[in-house]
Amino acid sequence: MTPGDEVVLALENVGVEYESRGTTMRVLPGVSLELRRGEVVGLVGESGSGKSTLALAILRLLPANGRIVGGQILLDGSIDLTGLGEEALREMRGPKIAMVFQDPLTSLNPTFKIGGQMVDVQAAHAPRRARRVDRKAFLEKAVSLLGKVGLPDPDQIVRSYPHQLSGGMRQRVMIAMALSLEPELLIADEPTSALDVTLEAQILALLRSIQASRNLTILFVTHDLNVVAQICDRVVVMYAGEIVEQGGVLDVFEHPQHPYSEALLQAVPTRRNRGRTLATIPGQVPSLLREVRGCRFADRCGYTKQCCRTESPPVVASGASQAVRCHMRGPATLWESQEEKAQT
Amino acid sequence: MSASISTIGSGGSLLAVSDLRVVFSGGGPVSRLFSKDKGVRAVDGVSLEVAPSEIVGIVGESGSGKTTLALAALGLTHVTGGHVLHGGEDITRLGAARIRRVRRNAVMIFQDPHSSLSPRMRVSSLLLEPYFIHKVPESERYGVAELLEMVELPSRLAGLYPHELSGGQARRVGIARALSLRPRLIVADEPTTGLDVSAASSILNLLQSLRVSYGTAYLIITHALNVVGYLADRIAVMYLGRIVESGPAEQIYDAPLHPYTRALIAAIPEMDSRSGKKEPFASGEIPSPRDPPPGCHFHPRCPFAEQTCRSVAPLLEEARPNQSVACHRWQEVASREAP
Repeated sequence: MTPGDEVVLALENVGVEYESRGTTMRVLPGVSLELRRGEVVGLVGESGSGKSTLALAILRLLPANGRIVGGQILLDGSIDLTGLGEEALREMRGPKIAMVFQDPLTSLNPTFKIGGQMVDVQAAHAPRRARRVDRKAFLEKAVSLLGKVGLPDPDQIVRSYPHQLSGGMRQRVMIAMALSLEPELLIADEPTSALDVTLEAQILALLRSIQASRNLTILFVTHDLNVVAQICDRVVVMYAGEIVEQGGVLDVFEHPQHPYSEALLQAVPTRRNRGRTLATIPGQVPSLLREVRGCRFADRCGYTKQCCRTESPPVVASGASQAVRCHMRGPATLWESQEEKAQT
Repeated sequence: MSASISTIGSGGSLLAVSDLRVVFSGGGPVSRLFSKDKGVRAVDGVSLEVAPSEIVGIVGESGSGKTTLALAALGLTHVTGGHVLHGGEDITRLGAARIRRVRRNAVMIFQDPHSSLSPRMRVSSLLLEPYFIHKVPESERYGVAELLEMVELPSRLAGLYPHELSGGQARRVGIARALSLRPRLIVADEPTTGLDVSAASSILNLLQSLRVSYGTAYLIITHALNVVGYLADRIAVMYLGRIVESGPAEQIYDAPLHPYTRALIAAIPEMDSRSGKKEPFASGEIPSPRDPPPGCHFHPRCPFAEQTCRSVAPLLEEARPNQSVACHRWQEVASREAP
């Protein structure tokens, strides 16, 4: 299915700060991103890149010491999630945007059976008058959803407690639960990281088929580039709180435009680069306690020039479908090279 | 030690494991007496060799017994049956003091670096601790700075505590501790799991370069097939306590014979093969090792399973030179196109 042009979610200059021991850390300086209906977007980055913070900010699920400072998160072009109160937010979480977390065991309540938990999710969002009567119908829906996510014997599953299921089964339950309110957007935060390869392959295939049958939009947060290649249409690369590159998966993977994406891709061990030394990225992610001047990747980049240390790089269109935040690709490249020529 | 056993390790291999069995029995003596619980056969008749400066990868999913195999190979868990030979010496028959001597030459890097480093010791003490344990004379010791340099860490880390290190740095300290004794064999359990892409790639580069400069051999235990595909010379695939296929890395990847190996390889998400995969994934999940299926352990998930597979456990046989497989139907499997 080809993604349409309809924008489901638009982030405009969304900033996030964390407060810790009296100091403020600007984790996301201002992120802009659009998700179109029916596309699977991979949000990749290493730990500390802010990818999970971004995912949580969309659902307004930031921890107590985090807050959104500035920007807009527009759902369906009209609802600004940043301005909603708790009650209104609850109407969004589930029916509009659902989330699947990395560890299903901590997301499921260990003291209730799967069926009851799945009914509660639906009941909490049912119109007030219907709440009493429909538990039976909700349970039937739960059973049918569990069957759709490929769980054998769903009648038995609804009567089980979470600990009686395996990791792969629990993750399928989480996906079924997330789908029970028919959301437009599914945010999946490392949904397969805790699973074995054969299970991961099964879950990825499941998400793909659900996506296609419901024209669902999926934001897939992961650090695993191989998984992105497998399931995503578009990839968004984050570094130190900023989106440094985005574009079609094949374009980015074949012709990465940002030095960070390039290094990241070359650092993945595969059997094809056997015997070769893998690319590494020296140094550390910059501390966000201080204001970062210039490009955030400058200290670790192999192509750093004078302007990278002083000026924030512009976001420019580059390659086939990509947008990249880098001086190398921007207009500055021109005057830099002219300057260098003049010096020699 | 009988003659037949000593010949196993005499082919110059550093480590030779033969017919190793590790059974964990549940409950106390009374429940063991009255219950039908036969215990968990974590490792069920595994044989394996590692030659000097060779990299052998053990792959398998959780519950396959790969970590237990690693622990047993270093005498870190009890062994129910079989032999583990280090340079011809069977450690299953040695006392604690002599096993310790073996562990000077064969060391382990644990999966979680933070939980394997004492939180109350500085990096410098952690690095020198192995020398005190093994009473290594001063003249044979590396200095702290030297060890840090070997694993490409700045010397200023010497005064830090483990919680002040990043995951990649802690992993390197674990490697440096292992290297301090100049071992000939390093057993690494999931050496890159939990690390970021760039930290993982630098650890893999480091392991490679240490082999080049010191001739270290590795037994790498992992569920990440891309890691062994990149690093290992030979691969053994484990499923529910048994090796189902082993052979040279290229051969295992290009022409896998066991249906499970094929399913694993088909399941690897790879950056450069986005097109649909032909091989069906293994359906279902790995069964509990407490109650493994009869016959071939893989038969409930196997698309090739037939009557024999349900009752008779296949033995490892040499299907091609150096490549062994435990499957009744490998010939039919091999005739299918590779995944």
